[in-house]
Amino acid sequence: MTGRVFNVQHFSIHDGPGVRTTVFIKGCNLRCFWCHNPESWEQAMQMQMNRSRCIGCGECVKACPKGKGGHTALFTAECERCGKCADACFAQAITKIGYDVTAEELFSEILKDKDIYIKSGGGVTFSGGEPLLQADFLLAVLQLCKAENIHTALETAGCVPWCVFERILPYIDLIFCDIKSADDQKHKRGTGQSNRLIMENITRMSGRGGNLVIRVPVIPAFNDDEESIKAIADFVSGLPGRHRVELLPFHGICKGKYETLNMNFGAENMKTPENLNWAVQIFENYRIHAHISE
Amino acid sequence: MNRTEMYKRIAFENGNRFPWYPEECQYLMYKRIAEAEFAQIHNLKRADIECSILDHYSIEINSLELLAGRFSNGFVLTDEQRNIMEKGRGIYEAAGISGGWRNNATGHRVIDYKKLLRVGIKGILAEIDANLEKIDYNSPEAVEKKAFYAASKKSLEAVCRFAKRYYTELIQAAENETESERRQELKRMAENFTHAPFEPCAHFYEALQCMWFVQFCLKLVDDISLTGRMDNYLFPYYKKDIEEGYITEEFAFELIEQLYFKHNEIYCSWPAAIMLGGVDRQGRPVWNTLTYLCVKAIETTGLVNPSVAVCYTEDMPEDLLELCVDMISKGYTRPSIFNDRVIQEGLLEAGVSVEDARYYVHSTCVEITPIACSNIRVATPYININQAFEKVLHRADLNTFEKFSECAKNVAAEIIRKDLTRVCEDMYAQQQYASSPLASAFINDCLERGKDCGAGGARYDFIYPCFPGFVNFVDILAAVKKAVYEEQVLTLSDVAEMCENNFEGNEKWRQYLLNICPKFGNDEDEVDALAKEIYEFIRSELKKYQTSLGGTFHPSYFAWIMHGALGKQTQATPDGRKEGEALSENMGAMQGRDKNGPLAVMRSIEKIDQKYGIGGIATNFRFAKSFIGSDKGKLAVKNFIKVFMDNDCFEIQFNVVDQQDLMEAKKAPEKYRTLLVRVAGYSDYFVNLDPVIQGEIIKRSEHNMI
Repeated sequence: MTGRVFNVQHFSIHDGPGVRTTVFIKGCNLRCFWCHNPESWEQAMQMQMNRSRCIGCGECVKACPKGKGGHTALFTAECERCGKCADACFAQAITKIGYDVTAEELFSEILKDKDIYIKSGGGVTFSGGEPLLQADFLLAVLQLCKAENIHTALETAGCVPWCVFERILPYIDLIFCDIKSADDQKHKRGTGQSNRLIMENITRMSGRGGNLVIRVPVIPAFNDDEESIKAIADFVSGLPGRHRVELLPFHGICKGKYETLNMNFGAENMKTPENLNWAVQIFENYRIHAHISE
Repeated sequence: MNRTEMYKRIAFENGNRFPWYPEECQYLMYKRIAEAEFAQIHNLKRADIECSILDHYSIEINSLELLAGRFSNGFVLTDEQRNIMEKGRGIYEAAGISGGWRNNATGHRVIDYKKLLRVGIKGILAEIDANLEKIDYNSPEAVEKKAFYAASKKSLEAVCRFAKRYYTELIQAAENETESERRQELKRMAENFTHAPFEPCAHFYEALQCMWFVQFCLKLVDDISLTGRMDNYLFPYYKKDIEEGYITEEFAFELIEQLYFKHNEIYCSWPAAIMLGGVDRQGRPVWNTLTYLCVKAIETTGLVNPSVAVCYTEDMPEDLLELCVDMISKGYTRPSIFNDRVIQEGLLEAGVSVEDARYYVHSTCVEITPIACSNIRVATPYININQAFEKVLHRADLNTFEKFSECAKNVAAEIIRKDLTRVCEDMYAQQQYASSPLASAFINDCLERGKDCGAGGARYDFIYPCFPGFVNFVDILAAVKKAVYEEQVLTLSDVAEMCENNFEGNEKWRQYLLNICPKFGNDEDEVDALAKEIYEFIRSELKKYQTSLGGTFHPSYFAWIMHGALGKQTQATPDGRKEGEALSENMGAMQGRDKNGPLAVMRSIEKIDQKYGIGGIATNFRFAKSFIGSDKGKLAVKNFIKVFMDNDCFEIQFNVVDQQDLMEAKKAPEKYRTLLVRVAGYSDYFVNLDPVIQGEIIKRSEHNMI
């Protein structure tokens, strides 16, 4: 059983309690225009080009089977993503994103830091991408983790059939699920998907009584207005369970990443909201505890 | 601005103004040499010099001081004095004692302050007299013993006379003082000299003054004793004074702050060690109020000195560890944290007694020396084993990696042998010509043996050769293994040529060696196994030799500032390091080569049996302020330290400074005069560092996890 990931980050502190290892799973079914991890969108392998590292040796051009006129086919329709340019690039200006691992390999990588999970009350967090798109793989890793008593957290956009949740949830200690907008039309505009399935899943998870945290990315000109936040708060307050809300202010530091992927950043000129206390207040009015995350 | 803030400014300026050894001391020393009547035996010569300095050095009392003993500003050499000084210097140099009067172990030892405070100089003089009585004049050692005791006695008496001069000056200053509060303070300062250092100490203030005064005297005679475990020596006095209402915690804290400032005045940025916590000689935990105050004073004084470290044990109080992390998170670079369990095991392994193994200091950077009984030459010499490759790469007969690595080790072994032989010769010369009559009176077992601490009087005579560039050696082996023997993309002579030409025209292959070949510090088993192999190789090589006093050699893995100096002399290396660039400076990854975060660095180094590194192992981590500044970040770092210690790692030290600030400081040093950074085992002001070292610090991987 193999899965496709694009990063395993040790010593993470922002994705759940304690010191954690965050596993970034490749592939997502949403296309949020503010996304911090655009390299997670496609499940297919990708190439990334960091121009500042290029030493101009020309090896990538020689290695590219589809290159012509002194250029590689990178980022063109001809590129077959064979990765030969990246293999030839010793300066690591071109690198491959995404690699396949078996559940056992990934688990042994997670297990390495068990000592600090125990000391700090940490564990593993599956992020992405959308981890639930590789549910079989995820399940296999989770079962291994639970057999070792490792605390597990999941970051999901929630846009998968409930039956997937049903398989996975028994092995998850903490779920972070986003609500980007309570307005379906707006949600479609911002993420490319309807929010109906997401809202349904959240309602069901809430009813199950699990440890669920609602995350709300606050995005300028998308949902950073009272009405949008109120609608979300209204939804959360109507859930069967009580849940903490984390507000994630937008920031544009991922701009460089889009450039290296030759992608357009949909939130190019947007600014980080300066103060979100007003949004916290809206949730407070609904007696929902909300805090601003880093 | 309160007194502490005002004194901070003065201490910083003084530290930068005074030379390592004040001109007045040099004058008094050479003047004594120039005088006709001069003892023939070197201990007595040295004692005469120590007396000359202590009897005539001009006393200065600053209006902000609560502790006496500082360099004086007023001394200006007259032409006549200069002539005398030059005459003495001529005699001294003509005598051919080029190694100087000083013993190399000076600067890295701690005298027996506990005994000083308990029995006073009076008690030590009585011990000397008793030993003098016991001399068997039929024995061939009688002459040496008698001269040794006579010399120490002379110097000790000079310290007492110097203390009397201080008393008189302080009383005089009190009489001249118009402001009544300050007059009372000066009287109280004088009072500290009525009994101590001659008599035993009774109170905290007196004990702290006594400790500083003797330390100051040693500095004046060009010797050094570091402060060491002050929370342990001073606590009984502090506890009694608090119980009896003789002192307040606030006042004790101000005195500790003053002691810290004074370290900066006389040592400038020489990292003078204070080690806190751990256990005492009987194995009892030391965590007490003074431990907390000594950690807090790092922040309120905020200068480069002292080099404060904490000796971590499993029962270290949680809130104290949190306080340490708080200091680190604010960018003070201290305390560094040492693993008591590992160090005790290592010292026992080296033959140190159980009691002495519990009670050590990190001397300046990370070199472990037992307190009150050591004459250990630390970081002597700095050995650059990477020079082996300049020869080995040219060999044509190394057709397997095993042969290559064997050959590299053989050449390195030869470099080590030559360097150790040279060190033994120096040690022997100093045994003959150097002596420390004053320090020897406080170093065990000099009095018992009737020998100077540099001539076999001290209980421990180890030498700690230091290996900056150790990680380069490992990375080089790993790079050659992959490029030449496994992938066979280059030949050994290709690599030799590239290194000789500093990779000119071969940037592509430099990038290959640098990026594609594995590097130590990333938890990659294959290269980590090479590190373990080389570490064991160095240990077994050092085991082959003995010092001229019969002591053993133990390796150090840090660099002070020598990774820069040795790097300048080292041609480009097959790990992708260019000519002149610094070598690795600690046990962690080579600067900027750790790609998998701090835990991976730890996983790599924990594969090495670090107890054998009592010569000192430093591991540097650099965190962004934004990471460690948050509560979650602090908690993570606290737990990281605990796990680091649980995994038998030796020492951990931190830099918390943002990249931006370092770049700015390099450009506009005048704006960043007190910006502190952790170098390679010690802290220094960033703007005072050599540009190569500055560059290395900027290059270090910053851990800024999200």
